[in-house]
Amino acid sequence: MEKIDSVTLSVINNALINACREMGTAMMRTSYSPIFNEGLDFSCIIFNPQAEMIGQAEFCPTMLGSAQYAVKWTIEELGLDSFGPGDVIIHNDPYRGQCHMPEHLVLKPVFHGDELRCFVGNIAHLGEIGGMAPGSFAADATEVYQEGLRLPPVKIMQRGEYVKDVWRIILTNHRTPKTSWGDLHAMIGSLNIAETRMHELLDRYGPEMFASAGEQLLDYSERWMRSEISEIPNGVYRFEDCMEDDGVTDQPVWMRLKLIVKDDEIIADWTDSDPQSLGPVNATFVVTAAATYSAVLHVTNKDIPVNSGCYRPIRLITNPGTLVNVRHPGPSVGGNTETHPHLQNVVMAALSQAVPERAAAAEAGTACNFLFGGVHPETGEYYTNYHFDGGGWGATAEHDGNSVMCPVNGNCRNTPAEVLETKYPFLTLEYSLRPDSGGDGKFRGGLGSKRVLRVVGPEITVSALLDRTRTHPWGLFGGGQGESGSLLVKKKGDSEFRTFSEVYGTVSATKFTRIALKEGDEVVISSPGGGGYGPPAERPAEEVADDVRQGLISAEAARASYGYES
Amino acid sequence: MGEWIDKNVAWYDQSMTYCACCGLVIPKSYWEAEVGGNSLVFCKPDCERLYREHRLPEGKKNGSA
Repeated sequence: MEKIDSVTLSVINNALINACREMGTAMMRTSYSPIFNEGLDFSCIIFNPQAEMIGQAEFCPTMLGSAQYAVKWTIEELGLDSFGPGDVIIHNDPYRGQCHMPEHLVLKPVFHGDELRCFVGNIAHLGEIGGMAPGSFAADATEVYQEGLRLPPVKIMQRGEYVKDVWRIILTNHRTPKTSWGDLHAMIGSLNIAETRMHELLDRYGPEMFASAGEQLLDYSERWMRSEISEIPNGVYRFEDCMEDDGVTDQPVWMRLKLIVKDDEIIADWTDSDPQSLGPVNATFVVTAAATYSAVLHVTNKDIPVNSGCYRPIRLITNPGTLVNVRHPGPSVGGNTETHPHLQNVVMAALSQAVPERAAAAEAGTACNFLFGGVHPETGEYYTNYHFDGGGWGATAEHDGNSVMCPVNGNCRNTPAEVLETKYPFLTLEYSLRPDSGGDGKFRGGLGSKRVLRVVGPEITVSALLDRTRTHPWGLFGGGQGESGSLLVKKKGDSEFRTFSEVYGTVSATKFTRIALKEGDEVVISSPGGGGYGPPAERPAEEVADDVRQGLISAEAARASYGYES
Repeated sequence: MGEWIDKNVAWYDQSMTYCACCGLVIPKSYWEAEVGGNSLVFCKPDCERLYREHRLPEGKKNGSA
């Protein structure tokens, strides 16, 4: 087919993006769990039959980077001939191209006439999938079998009908089957919307032009990305960081990067990283890939269409059995939310040596995962919830870091206090910005948050998985580091907050499962701030004054860091 | 010169095959090539290229910790 003109190609590209956005709106409006309708922890995507992503929208970078692997695996394992109209496949296996166990892909083939023309998909973090912890974030798991129900690619719908055996297996193994039922239907509903939009596109342009447009968009993105990479100075750039512990042992685990920029290609060599950890901070291969892609996208032109084409010039080298590529049956639930932002920050720090004007200082690097469940005192029904809190983002050469943002893998929203209180037996005593938590600098790091919760039901079982509570998000080029986060607890009757290790004897103060909190107990979740950029002495006085006026930094910090006297 | 090989495993087989260069688990078919006197498997031909250009000169043959 001859080349499609730029205007038509743009229209088709935007139609694909808008279809994904429409999927997302449907998902938000029809899902049962706050993680979806408030947190937006899902991504909607469109693929060609060769498993290349041709359409996506403003969803989670980790899923947008990993989806092509999960879909490719699904298509190859089952075979293209196995798909029929009305089929939906479900799959969450981290060893088959998924980020971590809670992330479920639902995938639907789109037929036009008798021919399979594309796939529409939705990857979403189901908040409860069984395993050893309510909320399915087993922070001290030592193998994948403890993390929940693992599904290889299997049909959940066939020719529009329920595959009841699969549904029964799923619902039997999830602690909150009604919620899983609702959320899975929301996911499948979003696929049906996308299928309708794809039919409209296929009717309007014809299957040949549709296929050709996908190929041209992929090649266009690849050419543009290669052009962008060519502008980055050739060289070898190194950086490293650690996960402060793994939930099972109190030892840090290191990720080490050698980033090679060579002409129009980037090679991310992670082979010097530590062996995989006992606990679940290991990253799957696709998490490491997604983190690497994300960092490169951050320093290249934001208008590059994000599809599989733009990932082609970014190559990874890893060793299976290391922190950055967990080997079966190693656990990995924390790798997606905790290790991913660390990996992304490491790539960013390496790139900052080449293109300092485009890089950002380190961000909070943790989703402050706080999982809980129990029997609701008002309804008598069992509930679970996966709660996360945003932290400060790193400053750049041009602006301060954003405050209280989901880590870079997520692009999710914080849960409002009202929603938490409406659905679960918690009372929010405080939800505020943490003054002075952003690293100082010419451009200040973003602030973290402080959330104080009191248990107002008889008992809640909690688990947690946080990092950057002893290490700090680093600054760049003279900028200061951000403040660490923390997780503290005060039992009813105690006078002060202490760590979970001090009160309950957990190996890790911030990575543990199944602690029973009683009515009146309180928890403080404090997220880290982001790193600063540039020397604090270069921050304009009026900016410092404004920070003090808004309560973002204290008068003492203004004096000590910036030499500012109010 | 390499060639594509189908893993040809039974549907119930749960074993995993890793690309010698990038470390990705290979679902069904792999690219097999002789490199440095060894027969290695890759997820795609471009990984063979990357292995020859990068891993082999650095002495980083496929390995796991």
